[in-house]
Amino acid sequence: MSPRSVALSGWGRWPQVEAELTEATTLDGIRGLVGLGAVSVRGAGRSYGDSSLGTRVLDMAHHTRMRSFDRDSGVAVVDAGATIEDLLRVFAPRGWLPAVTPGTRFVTVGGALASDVHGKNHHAAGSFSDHVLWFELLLGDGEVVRVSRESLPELFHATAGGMGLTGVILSVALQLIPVRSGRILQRSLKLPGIDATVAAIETNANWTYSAAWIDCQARGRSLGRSLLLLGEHDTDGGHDPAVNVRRPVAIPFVPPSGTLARPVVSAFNTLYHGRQRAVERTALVSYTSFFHPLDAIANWNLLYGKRGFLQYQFVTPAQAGADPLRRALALISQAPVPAPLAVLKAFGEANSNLLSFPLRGYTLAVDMPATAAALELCERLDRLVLDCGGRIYLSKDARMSPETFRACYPRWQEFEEIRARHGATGKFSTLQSTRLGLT
Amino acid sequence: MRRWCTEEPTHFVLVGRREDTLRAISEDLVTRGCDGTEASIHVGAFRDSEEVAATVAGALEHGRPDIALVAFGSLPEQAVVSATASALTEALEVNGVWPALCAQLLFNALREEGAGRIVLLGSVAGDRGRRSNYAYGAAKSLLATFAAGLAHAAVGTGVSVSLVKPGPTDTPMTRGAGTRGRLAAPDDVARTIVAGVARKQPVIYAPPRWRVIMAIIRALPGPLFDRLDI
Ligand SMILES: Cc1cc2nc3c(=O)[nH]c(=O)nc-3n(C[C@H](O)[C@H](O)[C@H](O)COP(=O)(O)OP(=O)(O)OC[C@H]3O[C@@H](n4cnc5c(N)ncnc54)[C@H](O)[C@@H]3O)c2cc1C
Ligand SMILES: NC(=O)c1ccc[n+]([C@@H]2O[C@H](COP(=O)([O-])OP(=O)(O)OC[C@H]3O[C@@H](n4cnc5c(N)ncnc54)[C@H](OP(=O)(O)O)[C@@H]3O)[C@@H](O)[C@H]2O)c1
Repeated sequence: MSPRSVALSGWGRWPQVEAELTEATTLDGIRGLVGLGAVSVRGAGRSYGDSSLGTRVLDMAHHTRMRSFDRDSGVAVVDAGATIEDLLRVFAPRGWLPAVTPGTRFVTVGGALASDVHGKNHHAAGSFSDHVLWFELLLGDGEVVRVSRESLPELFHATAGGMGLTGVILSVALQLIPVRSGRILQRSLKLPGIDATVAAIETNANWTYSAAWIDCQARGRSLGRSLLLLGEHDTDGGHDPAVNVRRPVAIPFVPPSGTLARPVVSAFNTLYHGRQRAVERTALVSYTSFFHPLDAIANWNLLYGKRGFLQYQFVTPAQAGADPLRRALALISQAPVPAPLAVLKAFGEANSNLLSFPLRGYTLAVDMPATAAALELCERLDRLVLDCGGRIYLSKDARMSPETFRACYPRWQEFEEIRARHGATGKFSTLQSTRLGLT
Repeated sequence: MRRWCTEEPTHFVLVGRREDTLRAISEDLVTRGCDGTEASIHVGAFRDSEEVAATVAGALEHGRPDIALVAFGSLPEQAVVSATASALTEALEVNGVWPALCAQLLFNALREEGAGRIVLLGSVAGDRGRRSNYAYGAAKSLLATFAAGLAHAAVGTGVSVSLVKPGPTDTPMTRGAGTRGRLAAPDDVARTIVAGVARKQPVIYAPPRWRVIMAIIRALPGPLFDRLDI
């Protein structure tokens, strides 16, 4: 219960801060902490940048209890610290899966709701909060309210995607989806460039799951060459999501900064481009190897060395077509920044949350070491994204300016007003919210 | 350590002093467990011999258990118990005397059935007294000797007795200031306990490597041990 002084960072390990971390195990403990003043809420710390950081941090990752599961409707109520992995372990064997999962199963349900995360099926299923029926939220004054779209619409739409700035999410009621198998029928297409990639994404939009790994080092006519992975739930076979098949391998030490690039580049390139000779291939794969391939290495974020890294993820509107993507990839491939790989996918319609990231268009995510050259590249990408009416994902961000934020999220003022009405102003803040000029 | 295996339908009876916590744990067990998992709760504490007897009797009213797990305890700061008589007494009682009494009462009840397993939570801290936590350690070693004797007494009765000695584990007990070193994952410890109990192992180190580590620590000659900061 007592606070601990620790060095904290997000998944990118940049920035790192000294924080007082409190693992309040009871509701009164959480209330007491919130009563002290500004608090930052943290789940599993899988957001890349500074959105789970602050000076006084409430750790919600230990709140992993499950409250109920309706075997007929597939509605599960779990505490906010339960992870996607917990859901897979408990419900997948019974034929129910989370409707939306991000690229790692180690995120908490609270964090997934606060970032309103998306998966490979956004174009078909929307984002995480679209499958949330209600949640319990502890407000700045310590009161606990049950929030649904009907009961408290403005709190619902401010909290989903609201990056922990409206209150502490205590529990979440999730609609799971029924499946006949824990396996995925995967089709992979090797594509020679960005136009072919975008075209293939569009012609295969009927697949439930779709995302492309882009080789960012390819230039010229190969610019944007990719491996597009499409997936569909298999119709029979066991329900084992294979979370237990292999224990994640751990990297035992932090390699010096700079060693990163080569091993990572070659590992990823072999995995995702070089490996496949054929233009098209179909295979049955386990749930986890399809959705969470990177989870096979427990702490791959150490590969970027002590300096840490950042991920830049943006979305550009569909109307702008493939052109902004082409320009962004050109900027990335020409910059003196080792950025081996990017993930590209098409988003479906935006939902009505105030700060949710997805909007109809294309999203690209790219990892890079936290160097001055990378920051400069991000600035240039910012301009490109804003010029075409796109936005940058808060859950990956550690560096955007308040001006960029406001241009990306024009409803920020409404968000601030709702926070003020519900006693969140000055109570819930993070390093990120302070940087972005939120109060 | 609360995460017991739920692969076959099990009826849990949870005993503790806080009703809301027990209720939350019982919901968790029922939600995670397979179809047919049930949980009942019994609110009771362990502060003196009458209360311990009443709590055990109340728990047994839910039915004779196949497996009885005695896992309450609290890890005090040695500096506090060294300076305060009442805190020292309480540390010795809650980690040693009351669990031993529970074990005896459970044994008396199970012997009549001629079946059942009693599992007591000791600790590696009970294997050798150390300056950093000898009050807690002494109580746990009381429990170890008690468990060994009870197991001896149980021969031929159909009842088995196991003592678990976990190494430092990531639970509410070890959170907060003052804990050093790496903590084992509760799931790993739980898995070891479940496997050990299934085999009726008399002493279960969890994770198992602690059996070797503690054998070495016990064997260290005094002068060498004295220089260790543990
Ligand atoms: C390998 C990898 C792949 C990823 N892939 C994807 C992807 O495909 N799609 C995607 O959308 N994201 C992806 N992400 C990002 C990740 O899903 C989000 O950052 C998610 O929010 C992390 O959850 P967390 O539990 O770690 O939360 P944290 O990182 O701890 O916190 C994230 C935000 O949620 C808030 N928060 C956390 N818990 C609570 C709570 N209980 N109450 C209120 N606020 C809370 C925090 O204040 C913070 O603002 C990926 C991350 C990694 C490391
Ligand atoms: N964690 C470790 O590193 C470690 C190592 C070796 C051995 N152990 C032993 O393992 C067992 C389980 O501990 P844990 O790690 O799971 O810690 P824990 O979560 O703190 O569990 C201890 C439990 O004991 C209860 N308790 C304490 N005093 C009590 C009393 N007088 N009456 C009723 N209940 C009481 C507490 O109840 P409340 O919730 O009401 O406070 C708590 O639920 C303990 O015997 C501990 O000594 C732990």
